Amino acid sequence: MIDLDVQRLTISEASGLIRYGQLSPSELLEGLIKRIDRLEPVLRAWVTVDREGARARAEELTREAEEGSFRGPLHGIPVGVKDIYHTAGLRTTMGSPIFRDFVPTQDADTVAKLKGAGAIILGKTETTEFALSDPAPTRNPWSPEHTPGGSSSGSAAAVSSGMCPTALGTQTGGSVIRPASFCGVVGVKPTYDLVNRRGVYPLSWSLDHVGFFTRTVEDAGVVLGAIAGGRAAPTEASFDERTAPKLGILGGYFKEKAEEGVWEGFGNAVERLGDAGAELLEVKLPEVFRVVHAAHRLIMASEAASVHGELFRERRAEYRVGIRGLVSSGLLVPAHAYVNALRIRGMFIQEARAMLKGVDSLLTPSAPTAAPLGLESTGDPSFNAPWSLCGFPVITVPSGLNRDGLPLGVQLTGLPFQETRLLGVAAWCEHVLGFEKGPHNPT
Amino acid sequence: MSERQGKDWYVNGFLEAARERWGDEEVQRIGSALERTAEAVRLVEAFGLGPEEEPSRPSGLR
Repeated sequence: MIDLDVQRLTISEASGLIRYGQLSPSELLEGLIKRIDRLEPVLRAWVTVDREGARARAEELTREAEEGSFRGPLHGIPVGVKDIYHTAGLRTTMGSPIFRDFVPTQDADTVAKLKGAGAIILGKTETTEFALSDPAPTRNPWSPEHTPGGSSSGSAAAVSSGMCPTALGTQTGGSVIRPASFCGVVGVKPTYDLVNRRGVYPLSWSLDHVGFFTRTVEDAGVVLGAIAGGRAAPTEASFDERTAPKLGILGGYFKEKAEEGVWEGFGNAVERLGDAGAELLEVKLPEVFRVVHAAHRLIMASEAASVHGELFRERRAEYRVGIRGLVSSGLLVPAHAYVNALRIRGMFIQEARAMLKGVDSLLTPSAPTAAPLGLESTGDPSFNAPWSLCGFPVITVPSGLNRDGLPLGVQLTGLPFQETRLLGVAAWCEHVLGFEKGPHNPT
Repeated sequence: MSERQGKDWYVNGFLEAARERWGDEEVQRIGSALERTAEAVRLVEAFGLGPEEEPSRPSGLR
């Protein structure tokens, strides 16, 4: 093996080295396990690290690579999986004591697709309980006194700290984009139902999205291509630096709610994008936007009450207070209010399409704050929930640091099923904003 | 629930219903979640929707 800090490698770099025989899947895996052993006592990103299973799989993939046989674009790439995805033979807890000993017999569709593309399932990453808000023990690699965000807390921290180059998350409100922003990595929430949700423990069926984390937009294209199957799957992020995008800048609610430092950082990022040639257009929020968070809340609470139904009746006392409050309140929502929330979503889908007319992407800060101090809260998902409600694809790209040295991100929203175009815009922004791609070492 | 009612009416209705089902102590613990959802019901009910505004469907994006 050539002398490498494997934790620094992106998927594209590691894949290239594996293809040319300069790095084996086993060597890559062992390097990352060393990294985990060093950082995990502080960061607590993992529920389970499957050393034995991952090593056996890596050996198999190493033999195949030596024979010149490659399963797909993720051949030999170790992946973290949020602990609400079913993994055959590997404990899956949903972040809940109720499932502490649950071992699925089948893989979630996405996990099966990752394996089919040659990935190594390195282990299961920490999640808030049932992917809502009751915090996981995970800490932010940029500052362990701060939350990494949630609910995909472990996946964001693992990718940010170089424990693995990519990890799966899910988003119902802001559970991918927000932690990605807090941890200084790329986060992707594809169009609703572009990626199959079978085998992912639901929180709210019509809001739940499969999503994931990487350290570059190029890698995001590779992962999305692998998990989206044949459904409009992009295989790479197109990047053409001659074609600067048209960006629709959203103020209003986002400006009013963002912390001063966040809006200042966003302004700087927008200025740099404009200086680099992006056409910047101010886009106004529609009237219906003032009730999208309320509609999101009602749909999430009502559907969570339905998801948890019988289990909740029998084992209510074992639910932590956040998820217990949501499910309880969902049991009290009148049916017509739920239907009205679905009607508001229908309106917002139409209005969001109109907002994207004439621009390649909408642009906002990825969260109203940088990572909050403490682990009691995973932060505010309000900048992400509207896009989970309407199901449009979203990517966050790191844009810089605030005055306290914590990462900030910009959130790009595109039209449904136009992920390739959105990835292209994100790659352009990533290039202009020039955030470091390497893993962060916790201090 | 009527759309003409104020925030307190919705919140109190939720708290009362929750108290009946789960008791006072539990309502104190999960009160903030109940209030958030009650306020969401109020906002959604107060928003003017015409009969042509149909519920979204899972296939609505295609």
